[in-house]
Amino acid sequence: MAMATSKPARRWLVHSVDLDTPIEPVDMAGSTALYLTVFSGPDPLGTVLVPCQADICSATLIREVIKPYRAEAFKKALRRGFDGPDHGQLPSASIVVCTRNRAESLRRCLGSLTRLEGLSAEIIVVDNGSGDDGTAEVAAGFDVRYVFESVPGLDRARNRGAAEATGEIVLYTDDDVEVDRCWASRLLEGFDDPLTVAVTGAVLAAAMDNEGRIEFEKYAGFIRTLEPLVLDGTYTDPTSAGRAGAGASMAFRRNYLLSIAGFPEELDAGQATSTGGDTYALYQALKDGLRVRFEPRALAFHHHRQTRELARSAVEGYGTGTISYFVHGVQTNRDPAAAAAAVKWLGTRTARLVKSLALTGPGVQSGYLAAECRGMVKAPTAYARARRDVDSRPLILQDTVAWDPVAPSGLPESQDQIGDSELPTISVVIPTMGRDRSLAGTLRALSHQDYEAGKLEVVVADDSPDGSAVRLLDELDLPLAVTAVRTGGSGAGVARNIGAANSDGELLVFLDDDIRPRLDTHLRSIAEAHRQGSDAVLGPILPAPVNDPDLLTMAVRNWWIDQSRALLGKNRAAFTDICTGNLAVARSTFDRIGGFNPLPRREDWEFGLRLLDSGASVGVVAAAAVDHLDRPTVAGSIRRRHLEGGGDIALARLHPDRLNLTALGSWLEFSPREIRAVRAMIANPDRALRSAFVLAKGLPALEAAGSRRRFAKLLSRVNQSAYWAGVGQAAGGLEGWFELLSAHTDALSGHTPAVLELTDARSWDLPAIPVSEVVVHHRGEFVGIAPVRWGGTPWSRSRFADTVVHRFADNAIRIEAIGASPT
Amino acid sequence: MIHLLELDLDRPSAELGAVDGEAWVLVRKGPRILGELRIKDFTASRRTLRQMAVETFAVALALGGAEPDAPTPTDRTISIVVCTRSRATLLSGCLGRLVALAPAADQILVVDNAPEDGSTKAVAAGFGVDYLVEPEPGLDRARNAGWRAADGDLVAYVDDDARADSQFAGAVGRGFLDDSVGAVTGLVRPHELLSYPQIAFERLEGGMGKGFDRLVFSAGKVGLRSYALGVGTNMAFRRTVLADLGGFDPSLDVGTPTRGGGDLDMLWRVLDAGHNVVYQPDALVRHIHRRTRTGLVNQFRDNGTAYRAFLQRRVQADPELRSTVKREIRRWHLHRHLIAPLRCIRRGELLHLQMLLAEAEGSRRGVSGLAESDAAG
Repeated sequence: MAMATSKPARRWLVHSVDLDTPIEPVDMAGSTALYLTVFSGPDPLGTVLVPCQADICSATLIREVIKPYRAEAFKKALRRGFDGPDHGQLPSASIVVCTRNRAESLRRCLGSLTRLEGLSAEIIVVDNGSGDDGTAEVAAGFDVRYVFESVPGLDRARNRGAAEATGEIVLYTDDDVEVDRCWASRLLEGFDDPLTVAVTGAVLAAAMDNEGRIEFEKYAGFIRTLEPLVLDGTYTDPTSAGRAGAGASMAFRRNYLLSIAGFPEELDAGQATSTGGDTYALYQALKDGLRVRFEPRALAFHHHRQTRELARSAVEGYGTGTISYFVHGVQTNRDPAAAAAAVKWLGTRTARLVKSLALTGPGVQSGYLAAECRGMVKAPTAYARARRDVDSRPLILQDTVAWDPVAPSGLPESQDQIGDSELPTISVVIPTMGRDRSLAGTLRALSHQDYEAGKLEVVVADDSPDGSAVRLLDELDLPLAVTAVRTGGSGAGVARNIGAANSDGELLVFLDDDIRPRLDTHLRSIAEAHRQGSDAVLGPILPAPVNDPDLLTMAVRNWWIDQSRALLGKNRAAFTDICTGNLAVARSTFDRIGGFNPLPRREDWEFGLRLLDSGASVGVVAAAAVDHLDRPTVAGSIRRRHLEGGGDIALARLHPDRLNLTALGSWLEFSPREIRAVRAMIANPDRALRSAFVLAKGLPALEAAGSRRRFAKLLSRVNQSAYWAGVGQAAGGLEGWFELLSAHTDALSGHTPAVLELTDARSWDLPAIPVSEVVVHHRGEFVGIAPVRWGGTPWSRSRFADTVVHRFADNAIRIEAIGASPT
Repeated sequence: MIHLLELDLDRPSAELGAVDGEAWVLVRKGPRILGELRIKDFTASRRTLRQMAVETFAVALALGGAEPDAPTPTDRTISIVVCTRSRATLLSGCLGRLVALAPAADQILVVDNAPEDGSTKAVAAGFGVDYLVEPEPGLDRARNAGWRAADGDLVAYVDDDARADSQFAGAVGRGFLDDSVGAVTGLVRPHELLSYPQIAFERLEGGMGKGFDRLVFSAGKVGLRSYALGVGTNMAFRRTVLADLGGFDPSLDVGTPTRGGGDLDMLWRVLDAGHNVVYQPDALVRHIHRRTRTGLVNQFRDNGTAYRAFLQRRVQADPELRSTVKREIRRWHLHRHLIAPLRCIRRGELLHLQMLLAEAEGSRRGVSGLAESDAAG
């Protein structure tokens, strides 16, 4: 009988295919298989191998193999319909390519960089001590800056690049990489969010034409996922930074890099540690509670090592680098989580090696695993050696720059100045309750405002029982017309009403006593917006920078920054955006809608609700940004949540139709299990509140252990308990709660919900939708009902689209199927 | 019993008579077979059945997967080979469907294996199909005689106890997506589910089906488990591939002491030679499963012998595979002959237990069977 014929060596042809366009047959050119990256438009969905030992790989065969991606492609295409318009202004950028003795591949890399579309960025080639003139010659052939860095070390070279760069963002790629035309602009789009300090891109294999490269892609490839990823350091363990990507395609905010003194020179190629510097910088970003994004649409293609030996030594380097970066984390941050991660990494890899040896015996796979283990074992000595080397010389970057996530966006100056004669008279009303020092600071900041003195008065509504603020005003000697009224513990809302009644400016500006205007044109910019027709003016509330913030502070900071960014991005405010910390209202409007209601909390939302319902126009002014001085504590957060529960109930009593727009609405989306838990909290609020305090005792331990994912989870449980305890107390137990819910249902029974069309993004003018539920259609057919709450408090279109598409895509496919098969 | 029905979404007026009790409805859209709806209580009207089908197979219907492929190139002819032995009644049922195929096969060839009388010849003559005799007993010998005598570029094998769907020939042809495909296997559904053993075979062992998704297999994807590729009752090869590989292994399969395995062996070798194998669910045959318990249990005994013989053949052909084969044998015994039987005991599925134990028993004859068979050949 016939024996197995001799098999040809593997040779894979790298190719890509777009499910949204007709598929073409591929000339195999002697390859044994197609290595396909499957796209839907710009979104990569996955990679798939199409074995084909024929001359031409037919379109039918390709279509057959990529069939499983159809549904995913459909979803992505639907989702793309909601992508905003192209980003207007991308930040300025510098591209840094570090290289050493690889002139030919550098030429290829620079060639691809000159073909970039959508931006003009300077390109800096950092020659890390090449022994020949080839590198300089290649660089001279392109329009790039050539910098020679004689001290060996990839991270040294990267830091040199950052030092030389002039752009706001530094993009890094390697000399053995070719980038896609849209690579840079896609990476830069991610910096839209001020909290994002690093964006990484997908790195695919450029060629897999021999065994070594095929094995490299399998055992040391860069693709971990092709789903977009946002790692937020306040709820992601920093040690999982490796998930985001690697140095072959990444971008950092330059200021942030300078603030952490760049990449640690102990790590990465050129040192005994081989790799790890890129991951360490990402780890540091997460450690600082900032964000790292993975943008799969930014494509780079890596030319893998040619032979198995080289691939193995690369894998060995990964082993050393990974452990070294953990060791560096322990050394510099005293981070116990890094130590735990190192132990875990060692354990899982060794276990994998043992398993592979036991199941399949020594082979290709175990060879790579063994190489990685070998690398890991070498790590401590390698790190110590690198450390000695680095300690003996000065670093390129020193961490002298402090970094504030709010600063870089450069808040816009208020535009055309209006003449003093046109300025309206302003009364600033500040309710206060025994926080004298903070109040004094606010008043001082106000005294620096660039506003005509005769047109500005400040009224301090002192709600403390002893009237300490009144005494404080006597002590302070400010060039300001300040008066104080005592409101005698009537609550912030009523205190504001009294303050407003005791003043006579045309424009009422409400500030809190822990709020400081950022710019001295604050009041001017508000006045300008008012003059242009806004009845009320909102400004972003930004957290004031805090030294050495703890986890909770970072989480609260991120929340406020997100909130402000969402507010600025909207064309219309929702009532949940109205925050009395920084609000200006025309007196006529204030009087017309009747001031604040005496609620324990949420008096601002309640006010905002009436404000918006009255048809008043609300403007948002970036220049009216304020700093919020707040050092949150867990106990404070629990108390606040507890009060918010009560406040939401009071709001829902006044406006039952809006119940589900507050956090109370999450009840309507709870799973049966969550409902059971929350019922118990409402029925027994005292116990729920106690349990919140008890659970909160575990938070410091988790923070000390560096387990941020668990910390965030526990914190959310604590907050839940406190919130629903507040709800239970205010509603009067379950009975009261259910009464409110049925009142809500009755209130909504009359209205017709808005209809959103999945295929028509223009129907999605979310903030303009006054109701809480929308009916979602696909091609005119019903696919589901979505609560608007999915967008979060600031209705964010992209988050809403994410959720709606995720939930209803399957139904939409069904609608398409019915369309495709008429009876 | 379970009723077997068929719903074609392209034919809106297709009548599905109401039936009592459980029904399995094969859903197709013209030439494309989408899947099967298993309905416990068949009281649904035709309209709702249709809706159910559209919902269940929405992805295929909406996102392309229900459209027919490009037609087979006309220069590719197809011969259907039916190997049989003294089962004239079964054969005439089989040939009845084959001569009525639309599009028609280019050639239908009956190979009479070691005939005992003239009944097979008479049936073949009655249908006017080609006929030849392979005097030596052994299914693989008959199969070899079949492809050697066939005219077509593609050779499809259908057993005499299988009933081909009217669109079978076209679907097989379309399964050869391009030149990289060396073999195509197809979907096997039950022709009838009358007796308990027939239902048990479908329910407990999944019958002979490999699902309703078209799959492309290549070397390495299934390891040694070539039973995952398809079964001999519905498989087709490029004739040149059969010629290159020297045809089927005459020591294997029914009629020899190895009792089977010729299909496993051939499909594995096609893959191993670097060709792709496509599982094409549109190429449907309906198989008459064993009606009796004894028949079913014997079938599993033979399967056990056949798979063991196939694995033994692998070691003989390529000593480097020894450790792989060893692992596969261990895995096979562990899962099929220890864990699965224990589960049967726990669930009280006695027939299934019998089937599995018969398979284990049969496996013990695999090595000796192959040796005997080789010696005889």
